[in-house]
Amino acid sequence: MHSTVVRAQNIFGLFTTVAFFVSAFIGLSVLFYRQAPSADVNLKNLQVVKGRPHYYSSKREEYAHIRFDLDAGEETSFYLKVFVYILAKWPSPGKPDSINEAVIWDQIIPADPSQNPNIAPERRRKSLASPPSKAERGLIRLHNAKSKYQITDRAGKIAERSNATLELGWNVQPWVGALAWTTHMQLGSWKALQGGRSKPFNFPELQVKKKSTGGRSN
Amino acid sequence: MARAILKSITINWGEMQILKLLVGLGVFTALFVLRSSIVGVPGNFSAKSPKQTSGRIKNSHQVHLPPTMFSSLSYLKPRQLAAQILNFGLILSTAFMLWKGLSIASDSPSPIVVVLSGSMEPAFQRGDLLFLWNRGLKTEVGEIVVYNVRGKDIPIVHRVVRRFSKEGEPLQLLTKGDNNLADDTELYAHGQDYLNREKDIIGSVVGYMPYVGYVTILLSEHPWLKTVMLGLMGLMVIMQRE
Repeated sequence: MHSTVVRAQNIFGLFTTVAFFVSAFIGLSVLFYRQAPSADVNLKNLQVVKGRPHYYSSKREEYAHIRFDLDAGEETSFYLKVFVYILAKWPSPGKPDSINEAVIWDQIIPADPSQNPNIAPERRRKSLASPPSKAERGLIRLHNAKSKYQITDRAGKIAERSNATLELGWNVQPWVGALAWTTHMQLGSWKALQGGRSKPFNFPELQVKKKSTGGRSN
Repeated sequence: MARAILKSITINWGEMQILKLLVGLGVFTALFVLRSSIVGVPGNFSAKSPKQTSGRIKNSHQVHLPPTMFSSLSYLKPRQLAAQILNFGLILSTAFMLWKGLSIASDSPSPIVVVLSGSMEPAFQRGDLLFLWNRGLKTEVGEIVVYNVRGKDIPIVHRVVRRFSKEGEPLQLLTKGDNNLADDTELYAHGQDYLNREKDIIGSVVGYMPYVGYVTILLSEHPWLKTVMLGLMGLMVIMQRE
């Protein structure tokens, strides 16, 4: 029966088949793009202070305020959304098996390089005219940057914890297909991350504000 | 007595899914056997059909009716109509088995979810389809997980920003939406500070397909569309000759 229904069905069938193969091709094509990430993460300044999780909370916890440098040049031929983050990693005292991890800073790098917050505005404007270099697409440069999130462990204690590191990580958001995370191993034309980890450091002892010590001594 | 016995049998979630898959398979086989008893096995069906179609064409010539969509319905023999309804049942049971199979493979109660809010923009938008995987409970920071808030049945898709691991205990995780200013502590159940990897999380996002899920959002926002679509699907299957 060559009715309208059958024709509509055929057209819809063809459409879904073509859409499936095109999206499968797009999903697999990311593997052929070259990617050579490298990063330097350095700790600049570190303080541990007492604070509250939010304004109306009566809970008092220890928070680490971290300042850091990040120089990441991810040479890439990607035009994809990337979610970049730095996490602090430290073991619980006396228990090397229990690891605490917390994101201290993150940023979204949009697929459109002219929207990349790390490219200087004048260069950004230019990049609309001339395509940005591969190094520029995944460029992040931060100096003495402040952490976005105050971090602590499950018990609300973080002072004098030792053997902590800062690590760079990212999540590539595809147009369609599988999500990808930090490459620690080489995978086809995706090179492993060079660097991306700070030297081990220790959290300092709790910084006591003068006001609070005065209150306690009375 | 029977109730006591029933109560003593405890089935875990995975076994329940396999049971459901087997029920689906049973329904499929029953429908298939029924269908082949009506119209013969698929191989014979095509051999038989020319006779049937020629008969129908002859019929339509006699009454001088154009073979349009609706007139053709009345010319369907009850046997054929029953076969088409069984076809519809076969399609439904196949879809059910696919869903349950995927659920068992990924060990997740709902291996495919649709994004309903903009809290993960620009990564995920409303209507995007996400594929979940729930095997290997070693969720890392930066992964995007789907969790159910305890006591409420609202699945939420957010990114893991804190992870506390302890030997022999499930991971404790804190999540946050990329597009939200604050983390999810306020969203969790009262008194809960962190998610339990084993209890609360139904899967970690591994695959992504944009826009496709918007159909289900439309369907849930305009329920009459569901009836229309189901009716259309049924009609289509019944009309279909092959």
